[in-house]
Amino acid sequence: MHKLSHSLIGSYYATLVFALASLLVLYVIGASGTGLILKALGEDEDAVRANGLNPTTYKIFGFVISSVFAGLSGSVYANVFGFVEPMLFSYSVSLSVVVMGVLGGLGTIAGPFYAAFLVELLPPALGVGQTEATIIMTIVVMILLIRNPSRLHRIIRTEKVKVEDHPTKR
Amino acid sequence: MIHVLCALLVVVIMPSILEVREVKKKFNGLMVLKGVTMSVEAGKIVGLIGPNGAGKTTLFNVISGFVRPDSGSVVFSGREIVGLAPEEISRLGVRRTFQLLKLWEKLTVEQNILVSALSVYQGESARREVRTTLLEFGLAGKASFYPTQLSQGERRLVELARAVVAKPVLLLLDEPLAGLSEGEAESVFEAIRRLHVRGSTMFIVEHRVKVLMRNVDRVVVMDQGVVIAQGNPADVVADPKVIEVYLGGTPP
Repeated sequence: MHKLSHSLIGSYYATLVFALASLLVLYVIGASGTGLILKALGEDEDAVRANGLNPTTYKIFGFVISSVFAGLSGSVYANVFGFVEPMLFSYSVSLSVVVMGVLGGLGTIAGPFYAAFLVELLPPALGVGQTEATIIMTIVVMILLIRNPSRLHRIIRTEKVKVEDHPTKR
Repeated sequence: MIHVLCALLVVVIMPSILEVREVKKKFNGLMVLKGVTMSVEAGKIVGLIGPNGAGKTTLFNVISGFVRPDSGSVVFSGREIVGLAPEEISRLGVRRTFQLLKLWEKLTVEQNILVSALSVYQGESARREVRTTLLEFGLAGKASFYPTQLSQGERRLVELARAVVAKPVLLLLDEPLAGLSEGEAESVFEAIRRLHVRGSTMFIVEHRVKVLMRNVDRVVVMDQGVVIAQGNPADVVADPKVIEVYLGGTPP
């Protein structure tokens, strides 16, 4: 018993160091020129292209960075729990990651960090089970996307502008 | 005879930085560009006018690579640019602004200009170019402002500065005066004139014909997808076809 809690404390600090290191790396990337370009890309891709930057290059970079952190998180998870299996990252785990992002605010770093605490700690604190938590989180994501559909909305609006740019009638 | 030779000589010597030849584009079965041929000479300010739906913005989209024409060619500095991606054309030195401003609202004024500078310069030299450009456009005091905190005139200036920081060879300005008051329009045109003095070549679509005519070396008039007149502003204003397009015989 003593030994187990000892290893749990070790895992806790290992995870904490990993979380803080991730935050630091993300802040550095966010403040860099590449980070600015990624933010610009998220807002208006045509303006990025008109200003001589290839969106694909930066999208791939963003994708790689996301994947690196997802991959590292997986190994931290395995380290803490001692085993992994394919079903582990099924709907509920994937969903909580999405909720952390959407609830915290897409395009921010601190937001999802705090949201992660909320998503992980709130259901047990309220005595809500895994299945109920999954249902509630699904509803939360839907509400957030309906109330603040900034990204989706912008994509649709850009399409409209493109059409208006080309005169279809005189 | 001498005159003809001189004229011929001028035509040969005067280098066109941009040559648009027989460009055609159809959208949903509607011919928006019906064979547009025109050119922009190095170091000049050329205006492009025409009624709504004349195809002005489409022509800009073709030149800047956002729209691929069905046929025809666009030659910039002796190089065919049809088929190149917008970012490639931009890096060759053709930069554009948009009629509906496309500023990145989540970035500050300085960051907006920096992103563009990063396409040409790296690190500290990019930041240096940004500072110079901010001063040049009188935006130094607004460097850390977000676009939403600016007046419409200042927003236009930021978009212009964002294009200029990369030191383009040719600037395409799509209605740089749209939505501006007289005073704001004047300050934007002041910036345009300053760029002209420095040797920039500019091709400007603008609805405010009077302001434009006062400031351009040459003007191209489009209507219904074709160029109906081009030349110096005085001649174009007197052209019967232009007068007819601009309704009821009143010159533009």
